Amino acid sequence: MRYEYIDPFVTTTIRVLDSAIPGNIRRGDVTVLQGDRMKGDVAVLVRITGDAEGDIILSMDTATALKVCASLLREDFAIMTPRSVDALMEVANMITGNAVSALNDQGFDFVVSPPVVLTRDDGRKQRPDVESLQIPLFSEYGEMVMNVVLGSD
Amino acid sequence: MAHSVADVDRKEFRCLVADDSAFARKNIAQVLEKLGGSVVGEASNGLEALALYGTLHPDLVLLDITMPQLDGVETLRQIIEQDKNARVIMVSSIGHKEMVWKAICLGAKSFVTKPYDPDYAGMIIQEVVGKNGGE
Repeated sequence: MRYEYIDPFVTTTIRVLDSAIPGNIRRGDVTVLQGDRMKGDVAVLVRITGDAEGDIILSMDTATALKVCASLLREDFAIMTPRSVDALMEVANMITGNAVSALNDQGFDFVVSPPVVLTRDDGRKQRPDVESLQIPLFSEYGEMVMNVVLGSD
Repeated sequence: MAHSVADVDRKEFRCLVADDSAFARKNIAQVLEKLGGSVVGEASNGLEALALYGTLHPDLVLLDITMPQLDGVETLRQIIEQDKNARVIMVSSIGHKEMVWKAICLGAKSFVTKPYDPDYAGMIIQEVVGKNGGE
């Protein structure tokens, strides 16, 4: 994986989250993992194609997701609803779109797919054969994890 | 010169908001309403946006680039075909220079990236709608 892809995603995530849900978003230590994995019960996945192919996964537990959605929509949620899922998807869309724009401005050529929200029940198979960067994001809403799996052909 | 959404002249204007995210439509609607705009129609894809433009003839369209069924750039092209005086602002989280250029060449009046600063977006909207509002 080319590590120059990673920083735009991390810095953009913090900037977008801070703007959408002000809550003292702080980045933890980046770790390299074998495999891509969801942390918690709710994840937003965006597929990237172009100069590199892979996925960006932002995951969190349900309690954190509900607090994030409550901040986004200014109302409380007891469960994930289509409205709250839509809000999470839009935030993921903004993160990825902005990060890809930053990379494309550097001369890369990436295309972003519409985001997909996944839950543990969706049965998404994790891929043990890929290398991913895991970036924890701490906030007053709880911990979120960004998993970046990007490789070149 | 207006420095914030609160400062701009409030002239009424009618808006069509097209974005596949209800959350995104709500966000931009809040900015529009602070400027005196009223959202007269909402579309979640390009085909809906086209149909609503034809029936509502809004003063302003906020058009997301990435939408299902018909993307924003093609929707823009068809709106301009219907009405060469249409006032359309493209909205996207992706600031591809080529896409921006293409949209402007097709007739979009301006472009706003998400997440947008409400004051900046307000300034752009006010410039496009003009001080005469819906006139």
